[in-house]
Amino acid sequence: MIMCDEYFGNFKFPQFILNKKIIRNIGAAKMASYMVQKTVTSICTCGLQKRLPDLFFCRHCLTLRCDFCVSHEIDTTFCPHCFENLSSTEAKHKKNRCGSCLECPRCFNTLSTRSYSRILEPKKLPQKMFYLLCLFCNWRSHEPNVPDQPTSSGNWPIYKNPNDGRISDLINYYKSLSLKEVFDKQKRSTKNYGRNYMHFLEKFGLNAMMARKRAGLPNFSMDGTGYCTPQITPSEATEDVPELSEDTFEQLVDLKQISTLEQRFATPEIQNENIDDLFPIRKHLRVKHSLRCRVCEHNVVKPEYNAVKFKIKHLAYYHVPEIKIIKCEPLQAGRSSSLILKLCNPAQTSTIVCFEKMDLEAINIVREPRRLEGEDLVATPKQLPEPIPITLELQGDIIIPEGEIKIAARDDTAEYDDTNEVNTDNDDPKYVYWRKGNKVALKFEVKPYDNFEINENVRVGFIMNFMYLDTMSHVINQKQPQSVSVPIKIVLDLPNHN
Amino acid sequence: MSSKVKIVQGAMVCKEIKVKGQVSFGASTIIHPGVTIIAEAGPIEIGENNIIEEYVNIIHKFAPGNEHSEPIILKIGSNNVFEVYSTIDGVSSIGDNNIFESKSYVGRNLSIGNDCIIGAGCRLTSTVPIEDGVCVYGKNCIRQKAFCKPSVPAGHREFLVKLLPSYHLLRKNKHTNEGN
Repeated sequence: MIMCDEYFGNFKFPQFILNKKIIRNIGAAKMASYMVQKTVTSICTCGLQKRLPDLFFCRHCLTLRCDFCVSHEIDTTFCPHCFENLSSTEAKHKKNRCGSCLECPRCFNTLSTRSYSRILEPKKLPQKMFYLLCLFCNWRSHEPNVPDQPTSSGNWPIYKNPNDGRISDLINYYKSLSLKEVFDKQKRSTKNYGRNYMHFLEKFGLNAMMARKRAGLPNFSMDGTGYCTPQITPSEATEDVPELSEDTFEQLVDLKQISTLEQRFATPEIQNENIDDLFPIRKHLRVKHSLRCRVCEHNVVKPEYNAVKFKIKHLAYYHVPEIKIIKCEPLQAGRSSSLILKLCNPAQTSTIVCFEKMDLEAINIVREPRRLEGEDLVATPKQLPEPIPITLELQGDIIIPEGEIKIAARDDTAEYDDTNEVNTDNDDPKYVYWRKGNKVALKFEVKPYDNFEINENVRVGFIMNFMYLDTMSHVINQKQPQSVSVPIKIVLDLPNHN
Repeated sequence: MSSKVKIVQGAMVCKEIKVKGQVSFGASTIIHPGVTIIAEAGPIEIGENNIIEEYVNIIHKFAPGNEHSEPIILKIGSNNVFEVYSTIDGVSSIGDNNIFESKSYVGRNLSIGNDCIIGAGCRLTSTVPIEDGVCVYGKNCIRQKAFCKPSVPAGHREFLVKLLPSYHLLRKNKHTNEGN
């Protein structure tokens, strides 16, 4: 008998104070669409067109890298809910699932544990029982699939595949087959060595074999002939298929009672059709992975073990000036209209930017990662992916500011300082619209080609060279930090809706 | 704008709400401030033990084009919870024990049974009635069977009864004073 529902764990705040569901449902979607505007893109060294937050910056090669042209390595596996770190073998043993955290089989959010008191027998104290509840879709663990548990940690039943035994038999069988194959290969390769087997003594444990022979024990075969593969019973086709009930095609379908495809695919081995038979899913483990530049083999991103932090985090976002469009006049074919871009220097050092026109014919030539002057580092590129040829079609010309434009370093305190004056004396008012802290707004002009269609986006491209202060001390003959100009190909996709 | 508000003894209605038309609140119903209730297409009868949280809109208007139809009574049952920013726009009827989670939207000519949960952010615009014991969740508004009856934490109502009058002015029943 259920007496009352009682909240387990922390107190439930009144709904108007916090509602995480809203943040998950609506907030995230809106934020994502705001961030995922592909208006300003940069072309990575490998040729892919990416947004700046998706790019990395290798401080050794001084080039952009994206997730396609870095090598991915698994550092640790952890549960995203309880943050337990697992070694890779342990994770493999647990089939990459957490041992204690469970997921809702209906909406795949994490389940929480709730308690209630139940009187099993009259005249006895009520017993506390626990069940699982999804706070998002209100799924509740229920009999007979998931019986309520007397402990909060709950030894929630692990669902076993009905064909588990058969599957493991098959896996063992194929394992032994592959082992036999290896033996056969070795047997074939040994023929070429003639009669001298001495070099195999150690490799195949022949010393042990000799010892057995000396002791008069039977020899065990090393060539795999005596290696027996476990027997499996072949599966049989059956003709007895249970008949469908007569009203199968006439019965009204109750969609509330039928699981969705997504729910079925979450447990591929069961695929229950009835929503009542769903089982809580063990939470999938996540991976912390580090990224390594494939050319110089230095780490680009490396997470810290046991903490939600990074040891190394060279995102392009921290080094390359960020470009944002702040104003764009309506575009007309063959006529130039002004475009104002805001550049924001994220680095702690001031930088100088200068612009170049993008030459579409030479766009694929400058591919090789730049090397520092005097650098003697000629590492042979390993497992470099095939470069992707850049195919770019531009719909307009862009008139870029001439000369060098200085951008101040980022200063976190500048925000609170009202009196921060920026020297604008050296600026050409023809190009510099305004300047504030580490931000500068620059005037560009866009001239779409004559044949461009209205309501079509106008794509224009240019090259931005920015001064990067290289402080790496690994470079030979380099005592002091060097300023290096790094070119970055920028493509603007200007929307044109009248 | 005429509003005839009838508040039954024991109901708690905050003063800072917008009411238009004839609305009656059942016993032990708690109305938070910022609520909008528009009863243009006929009176709204709100049952007992309901909790209507901040910025909830309960709109009972005629469909565009049918402005001069017969007034219909909108009945809202008992023990319902309307969470923050949920909107009820032209629903035909609402049963008992339902929860409308935050920012949910229920559209025109939809009838809602008993023991239903309309999930956070769900936007229901179809007219297929929601049967008893259905849970609507997710961005695609999937309707599936609810395995447990929707419930409000035991202390929640007492907490509100204590807290709301100490920070908000409550609406008195003008109905009796006016002698209607």
